[in-house]
Amino acid sequence: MTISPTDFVPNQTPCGNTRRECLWQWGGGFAALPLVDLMTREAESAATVSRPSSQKSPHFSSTVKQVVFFFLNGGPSQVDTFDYKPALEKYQGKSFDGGLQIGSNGRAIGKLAPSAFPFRPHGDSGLMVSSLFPHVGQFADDLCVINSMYAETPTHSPGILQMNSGSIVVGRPSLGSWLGYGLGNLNDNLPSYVVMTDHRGGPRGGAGAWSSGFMPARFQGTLFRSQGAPVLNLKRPDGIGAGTQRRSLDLLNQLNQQSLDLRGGNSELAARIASYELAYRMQTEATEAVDVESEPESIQKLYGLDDKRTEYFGRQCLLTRRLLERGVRFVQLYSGGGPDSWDAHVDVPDNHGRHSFEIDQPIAALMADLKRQGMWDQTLLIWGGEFGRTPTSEGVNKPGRDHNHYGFTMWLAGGGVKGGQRIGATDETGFQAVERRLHVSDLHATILHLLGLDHERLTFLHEGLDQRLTGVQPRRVIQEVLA
Amino acid sequence: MTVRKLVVCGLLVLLGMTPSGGVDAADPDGPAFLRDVRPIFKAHCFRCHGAGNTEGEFRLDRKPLAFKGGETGKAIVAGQAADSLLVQMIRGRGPGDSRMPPEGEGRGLRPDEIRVITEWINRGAAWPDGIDDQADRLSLWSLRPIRRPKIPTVQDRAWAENPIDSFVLAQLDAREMTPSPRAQPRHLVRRASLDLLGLPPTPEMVDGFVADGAPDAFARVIDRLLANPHYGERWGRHWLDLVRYADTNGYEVDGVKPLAWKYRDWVIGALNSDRPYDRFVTEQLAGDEIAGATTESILATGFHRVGPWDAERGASVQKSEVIAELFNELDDMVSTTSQVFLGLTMGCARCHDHKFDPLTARDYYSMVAVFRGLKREHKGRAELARAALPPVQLAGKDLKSQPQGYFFFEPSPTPPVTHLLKRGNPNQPGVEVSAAVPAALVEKQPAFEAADKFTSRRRISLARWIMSEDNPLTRRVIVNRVWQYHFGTGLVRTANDFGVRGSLPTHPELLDWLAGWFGNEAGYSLKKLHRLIMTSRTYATSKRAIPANVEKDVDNLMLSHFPVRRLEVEAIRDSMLAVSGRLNDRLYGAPMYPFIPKDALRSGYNPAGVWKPFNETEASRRTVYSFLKRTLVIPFLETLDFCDTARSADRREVTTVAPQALELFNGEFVNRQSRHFADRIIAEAGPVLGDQLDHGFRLALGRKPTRGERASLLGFLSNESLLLLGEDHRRFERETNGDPAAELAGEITETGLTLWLDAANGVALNNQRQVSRWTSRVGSLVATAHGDPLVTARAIGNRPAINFEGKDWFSLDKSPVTSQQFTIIAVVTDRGAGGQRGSHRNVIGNWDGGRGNSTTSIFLGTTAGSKGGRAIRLTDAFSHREKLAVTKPVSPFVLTGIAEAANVRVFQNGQLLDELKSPLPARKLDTNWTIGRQGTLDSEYWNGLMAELLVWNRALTEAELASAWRHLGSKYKVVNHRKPREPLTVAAARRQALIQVCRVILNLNEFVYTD
Repeated sequence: MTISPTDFVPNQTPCGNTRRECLWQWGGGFAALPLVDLMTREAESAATVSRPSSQKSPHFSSTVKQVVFFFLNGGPSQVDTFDYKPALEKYQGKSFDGGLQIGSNGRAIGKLAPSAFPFRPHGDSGLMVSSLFPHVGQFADDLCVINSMYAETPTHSPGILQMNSGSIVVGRPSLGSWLGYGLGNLNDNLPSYVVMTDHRGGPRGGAGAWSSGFMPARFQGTLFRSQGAPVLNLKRPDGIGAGTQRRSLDLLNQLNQQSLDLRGGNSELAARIASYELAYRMQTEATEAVDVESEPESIQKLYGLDDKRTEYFGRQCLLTRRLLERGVRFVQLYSGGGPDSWDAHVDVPDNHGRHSFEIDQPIAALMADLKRQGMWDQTLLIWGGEFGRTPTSEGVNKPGRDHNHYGFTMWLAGGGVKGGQRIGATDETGFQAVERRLHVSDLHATILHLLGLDHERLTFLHEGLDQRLTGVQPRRVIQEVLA
Repeated sequence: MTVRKLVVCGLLVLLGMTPSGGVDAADPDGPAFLRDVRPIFKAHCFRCHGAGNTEGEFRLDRKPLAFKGGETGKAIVAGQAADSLLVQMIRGRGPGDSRMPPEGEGRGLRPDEIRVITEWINRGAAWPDGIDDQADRLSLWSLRPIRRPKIPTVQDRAWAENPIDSFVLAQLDAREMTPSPRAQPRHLVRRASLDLLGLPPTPEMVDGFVADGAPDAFARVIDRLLANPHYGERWGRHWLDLVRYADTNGYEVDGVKPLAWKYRDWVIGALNSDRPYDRFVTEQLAGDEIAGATTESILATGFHRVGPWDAERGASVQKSEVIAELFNELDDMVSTTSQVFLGLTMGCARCHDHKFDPLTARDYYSMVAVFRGLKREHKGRAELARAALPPVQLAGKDLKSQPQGYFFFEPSPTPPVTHLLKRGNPNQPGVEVSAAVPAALVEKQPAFEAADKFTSRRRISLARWIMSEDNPLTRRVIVNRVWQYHFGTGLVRTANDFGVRGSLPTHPELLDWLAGWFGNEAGYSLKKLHRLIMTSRTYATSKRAIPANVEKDVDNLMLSHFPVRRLEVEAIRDSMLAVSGRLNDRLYGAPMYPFIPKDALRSGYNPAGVWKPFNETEASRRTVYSFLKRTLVIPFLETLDFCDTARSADRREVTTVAPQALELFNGEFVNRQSRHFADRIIAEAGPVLGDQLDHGFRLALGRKPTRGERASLLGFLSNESLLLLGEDHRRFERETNGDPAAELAGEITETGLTLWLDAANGVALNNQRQVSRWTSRVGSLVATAHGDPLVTARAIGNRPAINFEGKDWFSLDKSPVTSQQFTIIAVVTDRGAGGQRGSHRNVIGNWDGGRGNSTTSIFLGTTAGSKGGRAIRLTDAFSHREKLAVTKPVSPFVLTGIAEAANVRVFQNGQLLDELKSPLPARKLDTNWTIGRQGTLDSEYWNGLMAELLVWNRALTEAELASAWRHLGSKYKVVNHRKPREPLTVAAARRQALIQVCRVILNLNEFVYTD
């Protein structure tokens, strides 16, 4: 069957969106606009109208609506965290030849080195977790640990792109954009896709990681600052009252709308009009959403806000819960950034020791909190980085480890996920995925599936092709993940 | 055929492709070997029948071997496809129905591919001699020689105003598309001005052009714009994107690149003086090696040094780190040079041969060798500038007194040997390589000059080749860039990648014609190129699309109408300044620091020191002069899609997100410009609202409002000023008649509050009822008493206070202030100097003469004023301030001292006594704090009561101050001396409403988009 553009987008309008989207984009819902008139004339039920204007139905039903992605920027070491490799003790100091190029550019290759962090079984499942994640370890029976991931590059920037967009080349939409495109918004007054970077800096390649690529700009991630006001300029300017602000915005919308009508519509200009309305609503809703201080002291403590080391990530995790409550679809939290990421070339014990301390308690707190609030089943948690690290040290008798995309670990938890299990395996050194090898795009297919989307049917027409998050190679949902 | 298929096919046709990958079905000469046939062989056959692999004793990558055939027989019988084994095989009709490629070795050939090969053989299997080694080069379109195509003949000759139009129209004709009509003059002049200057045209310029009916009117406008020095600022910024310019190094240290801005100024100056592009390129690559090198040409070589540098590693004690960073620097130079000038992604070949383009690791390291001799001057992590003199003039000069600049130098004419590094690993050197250009790009390596006394002369040799006639890339790449900045999209959409993965040109012939014209007729003059492009009919086309064209070409690749796009952030910001009348158009010079909100600074390492205090005159210069700090991108720029400075950026992203609306509607900059804009309108247009609206629109948009707009705007203005007057009236009533609820609503903000001493709380007494300790209500600070202070009950407003008499004082265990901005509020009485020496008395401070803090300390106190009253002292830098003296000091009052980013102020009971109107000179913060006397000095004791003392480690906002004063005023029954304000006047209300209109105008889509 050949799909025509009219099949592709129901109720096609000049801007290529559904009528409903157009109303939203072009300013439907603005109090003072003639479009309101059009909207009421459509005689839709009040329930439909009050529904967030751009919500869409998934391909099949799913309890999972929202996603939190803990992105351990720089590449966490699997053999020091969730991929237990006792054989490394035995091979300590031995040379390693995996038959593949080890590590990244120009770095010394050392000998096999066991983890400095002891592993022990956790929970009923007995899942092995290292001493780097004692708090998360308490949720072992909820974790679905995938030990056999592989990616296509040992380089940060393209690796980060691949983990986010499925491709090592820039210009493709990121996972959060695909979800926004496929599922729409749960709340029109907040950005649907929020990214929070580490206070020390963003990931390499910056905003490319949350770009909407060839999709319309409204699907791209919105960066929340890690300190101070999460979004700058949320407050009205000094001396401008609420009424004046609203009336000025109405005037702006009206003038912009008039010239847009004259010009016969342009999706970018229409999106710009919509962005002002979203910004206006964000002023109230986001200000309230980000007010972490209003949380009870016990909750703040649970997330580690009382300790300098856990405060930043804890604040972000707590903010994440508040955003999820308010219907933000996808939240991505970067741990590590700028000059101090998980990129532990020099000293894994120091680097991973610090970084895991910063995030372990906050992540566990979010897990506990989601369960307490009854949000667990509708939230998918993803943990991991752009790749893992080598089982060898970087340089002889040095405590660092180099990049490794041949085998690494990610874990999933939350709604729709079967916890307390490991999927796949690396070889006995932890270097290369050998059993149930899973490509990054297999993970993407699984994530989409968990949210009720079929990765082969979720397509976006671009340059004459039906583009997919998972690309052209055959990719499969990891069935074992599913509860 | 369905609509969608049509779209797909249409798109391929538009891109000059057919499904077979290159054959134009209409080509009367049939398939061409290089263009059409060889790519199929390469994709499907070479793996088994090419170099190093000769399955069946058959090779298809060499002409003699291919014609000879293999084990099975003769593969190609010229003129007889049916008899050619090759054709039988690819059809799956080989011996025993065998097929090539065999199962499992890739897909079979598509019918159209089979047709190409069949057709080619039937037409004689023309296979040019001696091209096999060069085939990769010649099969990549961008590496083929530039040939000057014939200017096509088009139906509508009158439409084609210059050769560009003939090429564009020919392709539109072929698709049966009619271009949109010519844009209206006022759109055109605005388009040109924003394009060349990044500033809107003045109303006079618009009027002049609209009234000028002469055929060359637009050409004269363009000449005028090109002669305007703002042109260099606008187009220089495009170049700075390409060369990854910033003022700091990035990474953890992010040190300042001293005088890097001299390179930025060189770029702006070179463009303004229309430095021919060959010269422009050569000076940047090798300005120190050219004949007649000057300070200017040496500053141009800053090109190599403005990229990121990891000082931590580069200045490491570990040799391996230094070497690793050195190769990162070299990679930065090779990647930038090859992308910017050649449109090649050489960086991909650092670790292995390029996956797609004919570039090898050997090519990469040959390029590394070109730059291997360059050295960075630095002392540890700090970079140093250098005397910008030609090497020949350096000897015997006092270098310090010479003009300085920021660039690399070659310390020796003999650079270290360069090896190919296996997998990019400096620990795995491979073969030695010499300086060379990528082998696939040339038939024969250009000669690299021998070193002279000063340098290796490798860069000048590279520059010569880059600009040589034999190199087709350079000219194609630059004309494509210029085209892109004019139209938003290049003829090749991937301006930094002309390789296999890049886009094909939408107008290949036009690109070649322009490239040829630019090198010959235009003599590499960029201004001539602008002029040619902008005087084309194509450039003058209306932005309005014809629906039928949109159906055929939704992305407007064929340029049937002018592409609308959002302006770059610099042009948006600069246009706002121009319209508000506040643009400081001083050219060149050291960078300026636009306003950054505190919240954004707070995420940095060093919030206090990272950014310079706001200076509006400086900050109102054009955005290109902003200080660009790699780890702290100015939020206004970042939000509006400023480029990544880590690597060459060939285009600006255009995103449309809510934070941009927040920045442009709520942000400091736009609101400030809106006020200036409104004041300018009132001053220039007078009091009539209609005139004001006309003037505002003409300044910002080059037109008057339409009838509908005028109605909306007038309605808004009258309504808004009435509402503002009404709101103000109600508020004024509340304020003057007193609102007990509001009085009590005041509060002490605890954000940044480090010390809160309250005599009713936290006072510990010893067994003699004397105060021993006074503990802060927030944080952990404790004040220990000295002398024998007593608490006086019901001292101020029925509340207790500490009575300081003679030599009572407290020492603080920790410093309440760690920032250069702070706020101190005290509720006190001041009984005067008492019996002590001198007349100063002190509430709180960190004076310590013994530790070098006699003139740089912080303190707040009073002293005898010149007119017999009392003056305030808030540090030595702000002492004896008595524009207004303290009134009734013996009665309780609220004393406030505040040091803000750009001001220092003192208040009594909320009334401003005096202010500095500039930032407080830096204070030394590491000495101990005392209360009630001058630090370590045994004098200047406070003589009076003190009920409450608050210190914030930041400057409070106006609202927070007012709230704190309200709170303390009600708590201590202190009369607020703050003068009641005047009610809003009608004129002021109208101004407020006009400011809103101005804010709206600056936010219009029309204002921030090209016209």
